[in-house]
Amino acid sequence: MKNIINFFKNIYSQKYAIIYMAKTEFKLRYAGTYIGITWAIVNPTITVLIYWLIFSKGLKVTTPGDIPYIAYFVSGLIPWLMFSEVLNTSINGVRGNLHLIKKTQYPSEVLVFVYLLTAAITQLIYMCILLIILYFNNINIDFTIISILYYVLILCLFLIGLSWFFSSLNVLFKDVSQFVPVLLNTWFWATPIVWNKNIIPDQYSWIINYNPMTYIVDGYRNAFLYQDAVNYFNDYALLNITVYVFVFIIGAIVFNKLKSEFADAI
Amino acid sequence: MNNIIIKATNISKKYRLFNSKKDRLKEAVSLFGKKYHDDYWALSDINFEIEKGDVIGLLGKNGSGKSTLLQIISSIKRPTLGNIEVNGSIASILELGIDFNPELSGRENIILKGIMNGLKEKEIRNNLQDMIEFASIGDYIDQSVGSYSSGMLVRVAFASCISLKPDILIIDEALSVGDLEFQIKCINWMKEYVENGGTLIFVSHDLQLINSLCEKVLLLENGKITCFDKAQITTEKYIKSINDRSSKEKIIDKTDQFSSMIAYGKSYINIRSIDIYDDEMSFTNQFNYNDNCYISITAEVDRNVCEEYFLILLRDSKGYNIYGKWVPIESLPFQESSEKSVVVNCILKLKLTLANGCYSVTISINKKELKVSTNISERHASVAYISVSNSPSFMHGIVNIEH
Repeated sequence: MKNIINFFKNIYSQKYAIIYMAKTEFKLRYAGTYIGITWAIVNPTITVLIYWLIFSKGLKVTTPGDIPYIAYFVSGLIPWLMFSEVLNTSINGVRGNLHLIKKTQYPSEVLVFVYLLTAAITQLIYMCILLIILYFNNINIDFTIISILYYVLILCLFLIGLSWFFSSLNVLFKDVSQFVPVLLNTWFWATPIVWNKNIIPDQYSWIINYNPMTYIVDGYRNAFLYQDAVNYFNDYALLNITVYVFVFIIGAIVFNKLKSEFADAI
Repeated sequence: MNNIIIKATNISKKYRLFNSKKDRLKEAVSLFGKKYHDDYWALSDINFEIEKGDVIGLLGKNGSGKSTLLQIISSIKRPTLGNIEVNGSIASILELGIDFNPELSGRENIILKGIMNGLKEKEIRNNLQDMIEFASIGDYIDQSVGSYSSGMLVRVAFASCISLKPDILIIDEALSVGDLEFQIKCINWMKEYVENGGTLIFVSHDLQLINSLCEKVLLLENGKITCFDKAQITTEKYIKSINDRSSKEKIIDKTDQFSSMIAYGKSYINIRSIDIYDDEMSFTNQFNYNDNCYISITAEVDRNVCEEYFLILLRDSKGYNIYGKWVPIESLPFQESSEKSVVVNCILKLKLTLANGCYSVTISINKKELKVSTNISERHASVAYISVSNSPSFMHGIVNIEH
């Protein structure tokens, strides 16, 4: 228990380092490119356009309520992009910095926060794109949008836990870095992001009901599209929150346990 | 005794050598604690105390556990057994520039290192100009570190440490990369740092530097502390331990004596024995300043090279040639002779007006009496060691030249 408290204290003491590292990480991601930071806008826009063309114009996917497909899709895609980006970068985060961990006092546990902050910048860009889409589709937003903060928080909790878990395991077993992308790919299609969750036959509804990402994706949509986020507390909410907190704690324990092995790992 | 800043109690570090990654997994998930590895003790039962303001040198051969010990002190690794108490902040230059991000500039790396050590960006920016001046690498400070030479790296690495104002500073052999001007600058800075109450742990193979800088020196051998005493005493023991090793091998097996030495060439000679003795004819390799030292080499020499020369070299611990003597093989007394080879004996008398330290003897066979050493037929490097002590304290150089 004392170990875990120290673990969190340590992270808190690194707050300035996290911010600076995120700044440089974001800068380095676009350093040496000609149009620089513009890539941060071009990339998300193209992604959104492709999905929209295929699923709305091509496959003619329907959406619940009167919401246009593009708004439905982008509001669900935003939390997923955060989720997959951070998980994908952080699983290799510790292993990629092993040379530092072996030779310096490197705070490997803060890496996930660095990646979270870096991803937050692209998140903001996506959210701006979404607000523009909402404006042109005459969807009003009101103060209930604040509930988005709650969903961001639980998404981060879940994400940090998973990242700690997988990134520390990846140091000992490199297979993890191969496994996680496969997991993410499957997970993406098992979550109602590009498709409407009404199309799922009843006997398979457990797939989305017990999927921890459904609650977050639905939450984002409720905050942006339906303005009834405050009332959004279904049967699965408590279960999901328990899962997020559980994953977060397990992630912290596993990371803290394995951390002493990092410097000795080959 | 509140002055103790580092206290190590019974520290041992075990490395687990796994045969395969599978074994690592098996052991991690094993419920009954079954062992799947071999143990290797890099450090065993280390005890020491370091007081605030001490300047400690760390000596030891490669693989004796120096780096592991430093990693444990700076809490990069945890000891397997025992306990380490450190009451203060640590900054370390363990491996040159390793903690720099090669894509960031020197300036950014200095800031990042400061922030990661708990400073605020503003505090660092206040000192930044001083640090950049200390590094004095000009406009390169804004270039990415990846393009730096090792000399520039050590300059920036050192500069980034000075703003941290650590209670304990650890320097692992990094200095030797810098040029003379920078080394002097760093040594002056370190002296100032120590005068202001800083504690310094310094690793180097440069015995002279260690002697001049450190008050106490810790000697590690095979993961154990064999000596932790005043600098002079420990460096002596270190030199002696090298001697003991070579002389021990000499007693056990004369032919095997040279296997750990560097020998190359066409094997025209077979060194049978090397004896080192003093005026009283007693075998030793410990000498005092101004003693006479006799090096007697008995070797079997191929008849093909009998017209060539022995070149007998005396080198200091850094490998510089201190003295060399050409001996024509034909002039040596034959002990035995056969169709193919002759056994000759060569005795060299040297008056050791040398500074304290360890010196090695190297034997080569050269074709002609040339000044260049490219014409070597065969060389046996470091076949014997002698050590010199009690040289006069006013001596600054390696050799005392009569005048």
